[in-house]
Amino acid sequence: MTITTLGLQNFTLLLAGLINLTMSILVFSRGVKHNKINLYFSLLTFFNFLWAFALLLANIFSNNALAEISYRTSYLAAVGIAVSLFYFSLYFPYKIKNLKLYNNVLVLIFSAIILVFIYSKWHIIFFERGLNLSNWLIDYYKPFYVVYSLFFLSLVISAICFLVSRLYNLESWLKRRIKILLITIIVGLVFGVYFDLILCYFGNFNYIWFGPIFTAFMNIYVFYLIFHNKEK
Amino acid sequence: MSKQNKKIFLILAGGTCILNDHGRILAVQSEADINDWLAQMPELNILANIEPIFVSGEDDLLEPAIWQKIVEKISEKDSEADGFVVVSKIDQLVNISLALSFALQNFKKTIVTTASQVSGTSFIDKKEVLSGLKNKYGGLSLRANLINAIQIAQQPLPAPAIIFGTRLIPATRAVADLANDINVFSSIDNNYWGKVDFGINVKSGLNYNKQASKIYTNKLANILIIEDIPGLPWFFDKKVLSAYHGIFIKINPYQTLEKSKQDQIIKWKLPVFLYNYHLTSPVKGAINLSNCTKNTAIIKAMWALGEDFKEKSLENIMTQNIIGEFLN
Repeated sequence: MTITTLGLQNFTLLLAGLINLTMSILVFSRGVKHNKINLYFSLLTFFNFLWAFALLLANIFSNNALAEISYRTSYLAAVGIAVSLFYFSLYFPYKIKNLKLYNNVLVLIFSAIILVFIYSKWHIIFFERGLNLSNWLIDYYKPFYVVYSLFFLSLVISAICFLVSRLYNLESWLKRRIKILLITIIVGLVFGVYFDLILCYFGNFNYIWFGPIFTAFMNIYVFYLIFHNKEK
Repeated sequence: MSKQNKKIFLILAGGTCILNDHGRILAVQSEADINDWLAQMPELNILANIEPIFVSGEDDLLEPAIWQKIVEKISEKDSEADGFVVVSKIDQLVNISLALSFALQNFKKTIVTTASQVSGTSFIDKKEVLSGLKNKYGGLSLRANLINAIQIAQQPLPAPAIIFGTRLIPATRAVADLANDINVFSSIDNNYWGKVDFGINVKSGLNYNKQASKIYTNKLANILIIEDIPGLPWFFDKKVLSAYHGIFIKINPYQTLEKSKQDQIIKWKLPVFLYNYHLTSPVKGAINLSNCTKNTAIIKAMWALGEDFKEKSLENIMTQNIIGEFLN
């Protein structure tokens, strides 16, 4: 059996998508009514799945228009990731802030506006795929791309700050959990941002398939937290 | 998304030791200490609308009268509260939780109990323990326990439960777990109502009783608690026995109580409870209890003797599974 580069790319995206989808269902099934941690982590992993899956479809669709919609959807998924991570960080492992109503409305309105623009010519002006990723030709409207990136980064950096702020005055076993989860989230974000936001800005699409797999670390650690205890 | 916080009453009855920024013990000795103590844990007021109630100080003797006072405070604040968190001394936490379970049956508001790893404000005698806990765990566990307790108190639970470390344990199942440093209590049948793994995970499908609440406010009875060792005779002065309403004896599971001891039980003319977790052989004049924790059996006996059940015999009450205290 020959493993082609395209095969490896698609397999990696599929694997990343499946890991996140499984975790999303698993955490959601633990109950979200009284548990905001489960709710937002389940959303976070669902959007991770959508990100990976949208990139996979953009890679495999033969129809260029469908591929373009899928590719744009991966940017929608990234907004979902940032918003879910932001709210998750407010609740994990306990609520740190009572956001005012206007804060919530602001985040949601801004997200909604960006989501609308994602599917317009304000985001991608030209989309044409080649035989492999190095031949992709995507022309972004750069001012919107910068606004999008700033919005995304402001949410994820806030989320990291919220998580870091909990590392003081807590018992060490709880601190250790936050620290490890924080590291796994940062790993996913750093590689995701680099391969799928920064490189794309400069027209390099060779590694867009590589970003989603880094979310696996976060999933593995949460899986460990949930299942390492044998108590009924 | 921006909903008003739920109102949680934080009942303080010892077990309040935390370490401040300088590594010194800070505890609630009187009502005046509460604000300073709460100021060390600002996150609690973000989690819920906390209203502290002072019941007894850190160095006060924690006796059944205090447990009774906690019951009174809870029933008094029932209509205002969304839930209750009781902080008390670690060595009495199981007993207090059980006393609340028997006194507040089918209570519709969640009651969670928790404690600090150490109790008492004197620093010198605990210096080594404190530095050990500080080095190993970075604190006395109360801060994390309280954060978890306040979150759990906002969710429905069938009966009072203990949250300590990562375990949420129904009071009737709780036993000391000496082998574990973080989780100093465990469930006797390894069945937990929840755990702190990835956030707080309260088990779904817990058995909720829909019957009306029953609140018992009578004083708990005094009982004499002894552990029998086969071959060692019992000597009790009549005057000593007259101070008690009943006698609780932990016996051995596989040996019949000696004839002389069986005769003594009849002569005492007091309610006598024979307990062993595994099994007990019947003795005339005594009520046999098994298949529940020792603390459950003791507190149930104190509660049953303290209440006036005209329509039922004491034996009926003691052998009836009232709050799910008997394990299946």
